[in-house]
Amino acid sequence: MLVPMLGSVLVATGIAMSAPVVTAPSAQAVLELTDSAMTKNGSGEFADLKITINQTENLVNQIVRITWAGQTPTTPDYGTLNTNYLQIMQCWGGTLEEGPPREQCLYGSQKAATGGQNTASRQMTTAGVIDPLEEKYEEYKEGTISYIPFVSWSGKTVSGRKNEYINKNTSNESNHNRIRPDGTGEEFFEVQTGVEAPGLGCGQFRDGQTPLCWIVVVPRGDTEVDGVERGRTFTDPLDTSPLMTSNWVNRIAFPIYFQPIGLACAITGSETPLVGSDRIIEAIARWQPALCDEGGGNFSFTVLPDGQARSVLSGSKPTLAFTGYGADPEQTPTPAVYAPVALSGLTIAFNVESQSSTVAPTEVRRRDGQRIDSIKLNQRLVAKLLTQSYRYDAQPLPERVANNPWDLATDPEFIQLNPQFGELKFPALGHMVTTIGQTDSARLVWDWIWADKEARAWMKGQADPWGMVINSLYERASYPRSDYPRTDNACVQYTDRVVSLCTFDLFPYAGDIAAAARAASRGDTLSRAVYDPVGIPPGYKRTPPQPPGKRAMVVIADAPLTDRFALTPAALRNAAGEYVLPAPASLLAAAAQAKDTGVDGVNQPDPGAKVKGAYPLTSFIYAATRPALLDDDEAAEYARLIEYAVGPGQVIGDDFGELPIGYVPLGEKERRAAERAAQMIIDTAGIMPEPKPKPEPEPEPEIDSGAGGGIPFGGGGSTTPISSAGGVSSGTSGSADSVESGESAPEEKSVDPTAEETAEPTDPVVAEAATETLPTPAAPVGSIKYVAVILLIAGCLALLIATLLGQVVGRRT
Amino acid sequence: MGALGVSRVNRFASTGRRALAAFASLALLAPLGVIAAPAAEAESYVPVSGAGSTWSQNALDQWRRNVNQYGMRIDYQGTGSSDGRNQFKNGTVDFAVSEIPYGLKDNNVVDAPPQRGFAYMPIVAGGTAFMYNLKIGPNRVTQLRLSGETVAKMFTGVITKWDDPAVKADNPGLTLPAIQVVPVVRSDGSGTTAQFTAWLASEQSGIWNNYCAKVGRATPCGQTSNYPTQTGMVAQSGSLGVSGYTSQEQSVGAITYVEYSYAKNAGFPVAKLLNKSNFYVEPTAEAVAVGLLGAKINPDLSQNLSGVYNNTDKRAYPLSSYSYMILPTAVEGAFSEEKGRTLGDFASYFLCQGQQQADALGYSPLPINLVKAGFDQIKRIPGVDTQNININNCNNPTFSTDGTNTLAKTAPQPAACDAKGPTQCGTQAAGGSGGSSGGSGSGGNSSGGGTTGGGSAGGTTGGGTTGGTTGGGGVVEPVVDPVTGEITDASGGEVVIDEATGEIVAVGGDVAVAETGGGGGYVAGIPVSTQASAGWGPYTGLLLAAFTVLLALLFAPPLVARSLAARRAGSPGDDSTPSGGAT
Repeated sequence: MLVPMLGSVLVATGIAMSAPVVTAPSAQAVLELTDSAMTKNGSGEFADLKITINQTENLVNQIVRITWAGQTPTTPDYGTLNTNYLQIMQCWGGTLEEGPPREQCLYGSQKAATGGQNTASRQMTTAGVIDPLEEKYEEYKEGTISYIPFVSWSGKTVSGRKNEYINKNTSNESNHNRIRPDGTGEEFFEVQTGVEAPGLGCGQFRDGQTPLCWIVVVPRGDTEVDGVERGRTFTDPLDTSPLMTSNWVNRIAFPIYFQPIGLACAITGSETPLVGSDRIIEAIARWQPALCDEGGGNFSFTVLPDGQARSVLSGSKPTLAFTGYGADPEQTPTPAVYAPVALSGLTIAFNVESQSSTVAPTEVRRRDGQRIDSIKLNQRLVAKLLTQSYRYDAQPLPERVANNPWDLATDPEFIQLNPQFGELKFPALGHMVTTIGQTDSARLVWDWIWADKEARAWMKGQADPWGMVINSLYERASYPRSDYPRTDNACVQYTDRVVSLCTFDLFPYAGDIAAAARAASRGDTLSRAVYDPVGIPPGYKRTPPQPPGKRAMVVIADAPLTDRFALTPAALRNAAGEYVLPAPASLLAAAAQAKDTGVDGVNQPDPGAKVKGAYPLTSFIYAATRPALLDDDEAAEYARLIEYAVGPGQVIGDDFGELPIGYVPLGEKERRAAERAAQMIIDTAGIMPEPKPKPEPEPEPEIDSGAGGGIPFGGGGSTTPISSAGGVSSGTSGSADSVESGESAPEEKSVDPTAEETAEPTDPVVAEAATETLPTPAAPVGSIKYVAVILLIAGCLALLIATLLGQVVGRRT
Repeated sequence: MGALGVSRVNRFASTGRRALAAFASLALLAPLGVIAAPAAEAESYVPVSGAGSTWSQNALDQWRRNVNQYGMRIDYQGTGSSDGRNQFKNGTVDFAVSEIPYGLKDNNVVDAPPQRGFAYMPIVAGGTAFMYNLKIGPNRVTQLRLSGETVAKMFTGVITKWDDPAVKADNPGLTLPAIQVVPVVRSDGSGTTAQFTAWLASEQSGIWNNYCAKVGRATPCGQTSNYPTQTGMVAQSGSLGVSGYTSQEQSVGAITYVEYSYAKNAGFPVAKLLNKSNFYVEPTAEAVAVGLLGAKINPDLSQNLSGVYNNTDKRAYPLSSYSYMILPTAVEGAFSEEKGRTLGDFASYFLCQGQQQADALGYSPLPINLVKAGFDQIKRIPGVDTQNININNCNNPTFSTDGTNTLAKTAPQPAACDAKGPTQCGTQAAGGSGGSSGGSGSGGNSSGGGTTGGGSAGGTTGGGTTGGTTGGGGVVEPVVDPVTGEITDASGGEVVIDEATGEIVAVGGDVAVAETGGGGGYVAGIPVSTQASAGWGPYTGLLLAAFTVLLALLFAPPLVARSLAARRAGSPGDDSTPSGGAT
């Protein structure tokens, strides 16, 4: 019943954009074929092999999708690779007819250890195996260790095991690519420009010339260069480098064309500072070079959690701060101006490759290593991932989750929703990588979860229909909050180790969502769990990345990062009960329902609102400053940035200056609001407002200043303490279902008269205001003050009357 | 397609770039345009990779991100200083970042210098902070003060409870709970640990050596990258590990040492540390800059910090230090002149412009002497473009025309209530008698004053000097505490309001310190600070009064009625429920 919905959302995404689909449920759509897709056949024994690259022109540093079919399957069909696989690399030079010489291929960093001896190396010397076709280099025949040299685009020749160009941390080579039992396979391959791979120089110019660049696939069969058949036993792999002549002759070379690398900004003496949310990283990186070229200065961007960014905004040097929600007007001594600059969505992003146990049906076994490209999640499942409620996520295993499923992939609720996981078996898919600090992203995720009746009931301790309960350390009457706690921690002391292994070693935070997304794409769990007893000092080292084909990661990221790193975004259930992917149409549907947040000029969609087709984790990103504290130059620069961002910076594309796929161009309304904000920044720069307690910025017609839509600062237009408190505490759950929202208010409110607890949307324990050295803002907002006065007067009156009445009553009796 | 594949629209060719918008949309229609070779061909940078310290990683990560716009790709893995030094030694990275140099003896093992040529260059300064998670009742403590001795005793198992008399002595304004102190230390080889233990070895040697002896380390114990643990401590790897652990709800009672930036990112408070002049100071950019005025730089640029630990400036944070990069000085292994050029430009960028980001992140920008020294080291990198290394073009926020450190010069004096003694900023003990009068309020009259600027000033200065009294009575005149008067320095008791921002810029220095009107906000009398803002102080009393009246309204009528009824019927068990006199 959900499939049609998904379909319609997808259809709706086909609006006019260069890359209309942000993300989609099938792999085809993740990186679909472009006009420049190219298919080639192999030759000789590989004549039936057909390889397709989805894009070969107009490339930047990006991922391309390579698929193949028609080839003898890899043996064995799981585990390490012995024979029949593909080796992929990027090369430069040569001629269109001949392809590149092997010395000009970036290969051999020994980044993988899944194949035979030198299959991931440039080393020629291979246990006495002699290649009869090898004529150029003879040294290896004498047994001396020798390598095929590498010649860089700049003309330098290097050799040896380690050199300046070939580095396993940066190399894009893909050493062993599996051919499935049906003869097909795929790889998400990173193409690199000269900036990432200076040895190749792709996209760079020198003397008016740019190198011809290539993706080269070397297919391997089951025969070694000396004609001996390999793969007869389980431990009988091919051992030679693909660069050996007899292997190299089978190569299939695809010419690829890059966009010229733009001239970078010149390093000048100064940069104008920007601070704020990690959700704008991708856009800023694109805008920076375009901005420096307009004739203005450079910008520096400092990523801070939203809470900290608001502290900067409220301080004496507000800079230009990017956040999701606005700062409490009470905390900003002079007014802040907000400009919407981007619209995007948070994602629950997966990099999961099909894995199964040896007892799984053959059909399932054959899918091993294949990327799973369609995953659905509801609020409760995400709540489970965020509360260490899977056994895997709470190691060492505490009693309180002992009867819960091991991970997502073994949770019957998840499998019911995602039947394709039914026969699969992962070492673990039970931990979601999150970030530290007070972020509006975290708040959005919790708001979405908390607005859902079932998820909320589960978080309050009610088991799901299959009996899974929340890790009791997370059970609490009140969410939302603005961080991702990791509450259940312990350490294990192994008797033979000096240092104990702790939960945080296994499951650390990522610094920001960009780090999380990058880690997911590499299969890097970020954990440090490999004990090194001889280290100085002994301790735990980084766990190596999960090998290709065996990745199983889930992180919180956003749509641009999900796209950039070719991750699979989950379709999330919205309040209307539909499973929706982040795509332009679904983000726009949510954005259209954005509501006032109680801060002038800051509107956000409510993840609990029942909006058809809306992606629930959609939000705007705002750029904010306080013009009164800016000088004219700063104001001009910030206004310039905003104008660029909402003008040329809203054109979707892959080039510098353009908006990365994953953001959605802002509508006219937001652009105009941003332009007005930019103008106001210029007009009011350095001008102290009248010392009126609450100066109004220039009126923004479409924004109702008072509404207090439940988000962060409820005080704005409320007139009674009850509605004020209620508006805050029910938060964004408000419109989820009105019956429920009423219920949340009393449970979160305490009798505490200070109003402090209700004024802060997050839990006071980790209240956002604890950021910095600034202690918790104690000020209950706005109207409460007057309420106090009114209450006092009313109370006194009432007391008086009561006393009088009492006396009357007393007298009467 | 053209030969060699150059037939692309060159959107960034010098003439084309300006019309970016037009090109970008055009390009969508015609992705295969005409040839337009770039007019200028700037020499390209090549990727450079490094590994090491997490202490300074927050700063490095921002710089790496920003130089993308200059065409640089800098890869950095925060694997800990010890690992970074090892990787540099093994040639697997182009540079390392560490807080301590090679050659130090650590737990009887000497960390031998690498064979390859290298130099040390300072990259950013900061304070090793004591981030803690402490609550009194439901309220988070944000004003904790600790002396060096107390810190040392906490991290060596001598002080095990938060209500220890020594902690109390540091915090006269706090009613500390009787919960366990949980020291959270680094489990991996860490420069932060090295910095902390260097300070312990130098300033608290008795306590430190006793502890080392107790846990079986050779004494004198000295500096170590590997913190010796004992039962009751928690060891976590990486700066994010210790800050992440400490910030969890269940970690109440935890305290860790970590670079200030991590505490800021986690949204947690750090202890004010007692300095030589008997002021408790936070590791702000200014306090660290002042502290480092006492640093002695060895010829190889490694640091001698005893002058920092003992800096007698009131504003100095004692555990200030800097982190440095280990640079290659020879072309060998995977290091080339091209990489040298990139690394050199990256380094001159972050020593100058990059330092502008330090403050917002929780670091302190490097002063001019260290930048100059750093420039000398950059020049030793092979392939470096020395033309780019010019101190006159260096936009470092500490530089001034007269050679002094701007930041240190303008650093505010500490608040009087941050002095060692019976006052404590942000607590009842700050404003003398203010607290006790808090609850009573002064009725409706004060409401007018409270909403105006005067009230705002009073409220914000809060715990500083005037807050307690202001909060309690709704009176807006600054009252100078007798204790305050004694130790006030130039800016001591004065409230200076910046005309531009409307903010308090100097109240004995600490704007962040404030409180809820002399404890009036906390009925239980637990003096934990929260930030006061405009007019909150007086309103505490007001609200309280209002609610008292409300309570009276709720309870008085039944009570009155009941007593009346009792009087009437002579039976206390009467279940009649009178309702406010409606008879």
